[in-house]
Amino acid sequence: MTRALSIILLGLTLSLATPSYSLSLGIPGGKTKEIAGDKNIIVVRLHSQQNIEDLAQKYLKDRNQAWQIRELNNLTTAVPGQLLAIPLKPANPVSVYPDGYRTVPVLCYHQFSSGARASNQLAVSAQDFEQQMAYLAENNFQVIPLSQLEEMLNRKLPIPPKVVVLTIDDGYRSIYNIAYPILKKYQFPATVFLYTDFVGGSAALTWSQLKELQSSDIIDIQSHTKTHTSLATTSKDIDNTVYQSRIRGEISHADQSLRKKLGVEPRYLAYPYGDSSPYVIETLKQSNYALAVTVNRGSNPTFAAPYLLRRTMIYNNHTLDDFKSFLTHYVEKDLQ
Amino acid sequence: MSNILKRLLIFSLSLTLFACVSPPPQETTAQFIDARKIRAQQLEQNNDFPRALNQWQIVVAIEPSNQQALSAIDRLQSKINTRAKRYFSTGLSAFNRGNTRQAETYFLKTLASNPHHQQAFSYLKKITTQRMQNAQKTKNRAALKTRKQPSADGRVNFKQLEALFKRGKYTSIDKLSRQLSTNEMDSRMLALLYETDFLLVQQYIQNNDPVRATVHFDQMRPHTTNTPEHAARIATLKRKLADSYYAQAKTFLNSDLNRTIKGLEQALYYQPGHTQAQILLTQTQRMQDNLNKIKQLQK
Repeated sequence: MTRALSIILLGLTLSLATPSYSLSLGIPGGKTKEIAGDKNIIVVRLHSQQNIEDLAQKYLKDRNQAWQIRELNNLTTAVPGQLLAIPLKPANPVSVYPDGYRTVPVLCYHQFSSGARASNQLAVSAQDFEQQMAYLAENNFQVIPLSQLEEMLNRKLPIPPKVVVLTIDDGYRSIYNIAYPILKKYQFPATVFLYTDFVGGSAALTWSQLKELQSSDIIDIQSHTKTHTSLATTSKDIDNTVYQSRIRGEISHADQSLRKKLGVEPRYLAYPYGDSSPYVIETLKQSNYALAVTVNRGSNPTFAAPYLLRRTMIYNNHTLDDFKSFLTHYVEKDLQ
Repeated sequence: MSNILKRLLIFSLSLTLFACVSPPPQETTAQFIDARKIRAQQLEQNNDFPRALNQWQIVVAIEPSNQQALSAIDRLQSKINTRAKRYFSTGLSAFNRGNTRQAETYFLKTLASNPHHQQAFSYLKKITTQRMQNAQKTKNRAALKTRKQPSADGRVNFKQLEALFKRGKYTSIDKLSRQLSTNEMDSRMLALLYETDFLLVQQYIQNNDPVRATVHFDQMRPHTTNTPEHAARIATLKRKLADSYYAQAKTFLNSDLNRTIKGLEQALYYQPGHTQAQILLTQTQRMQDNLNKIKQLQK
């Protein structure tokens, strides 16, 4: 037994004698050795018990940006002792490449049903929603909040290889009962576009439920106007002054409610029925809005129109294959 | 458990522990730099200049006076600038002619060459915004007409394009298709637009307008498959385009030598073995050189 113990001790002594050991042992994401660098790139040596995500967190302030390090170093995994270059500024802020460009699909849900398929086309069953979220998780889609899409459109962040934004319109109670627990399970962020007159209705969320959702890291509440009437000119708009006053009211009254009830300063808006006009866009800009989404199907590249973003509606008759086809994250095009 | 077995187990455990705490093999900076160089060369061979440039920039971050890296950066930067400038200028001409589909392609090509090209990005954003605004206008007009709540989707559809195709309204198809972005087009629509562009190329060649023919030729090329039929089509069109550019270049011989040279270069781009274009290009370039010399002497 004494001999056995001495063998173990010998092994430990030998390994402790190596200087680099003491730096890396037992310090997850511990002190990273920076080899070289300038204002754009830094080269570091990966330590034991540290991975690329740790480096992304340290240098890019977000674990989800690890893909940038992987792409620059042309690798999928890294081993301790390996040198890695980290881009401190996006190498390709527009996400356009010689064989195409990356895009961000924005999906739009409305209601959710717990039972079998509901008669309302807009009510996606819990089972289908769970299946769709599982598909995103299993296929390494990064589900990002709208705030990150804003950064991508401002070219502060490049678009990751597979990405999607989730939005839910109107403010139905089923968001709280059905969608929220599923989103929480997968830790997927989503934006709820709320039209404030709906709150407290028989099928709608209450302000206290909305408060609870807003305080989570999962749900972000934004504006879907006050009454959900079309923001395009309608036959009721007798003249331009009536129209403009209606638009200003729709936007500002919703803003006031969101501010007062939830403490939210809205920056994103979903047009009811996807309808907009140059006047609406001008009003949004003046009201400090950064993005607005339509219901024109499709995905958004970095050069998308920030106040007319494409968004794809998800209905309850969509199959998983339909769902997959809405996740266009790369448009192939010969650009050489 | 026998004594030998116990000892063996302890020995193997200590070996495992020893292995676990051994320092990881360290990659040297020389190895890392070599890997970056190889990657940069591969990327440059694949014409991916921006990514190749990034690899050399890593090398310079480690060795700021690495001459090989510094000269590679200069070479790539120059290639990037030349290519981006050429694509941007084609895109801008197309944009000014109102051909947003072609402009979009060339602005994208500019960004693929130089992802930091501010102007190409701004123009692309302008095109996307215009397209979305037009779609909104169409949708709102239709809604007001029918006095109904507007539909959720006011896109140009395949049936509309197919009906125009049957009536031979190819330019109308081209105009309408500009409202669509690439990711809105399904395979049927792409096939129809491919045929439309093919017919328009021939139409413009017949009308001695190789520049417009080129626009549609460029549009159909990304959708060309490897089938012998498509390959034969492309080869024929290239030959015809070369002839058309050659014929047009000759008409400028007495008035504008620069346009002649440009036209002949285009002819040779589509048909590098076009003997007549080669001969005329050499003669024209010589003529221009002589003229330049005379101008300098006059100064």
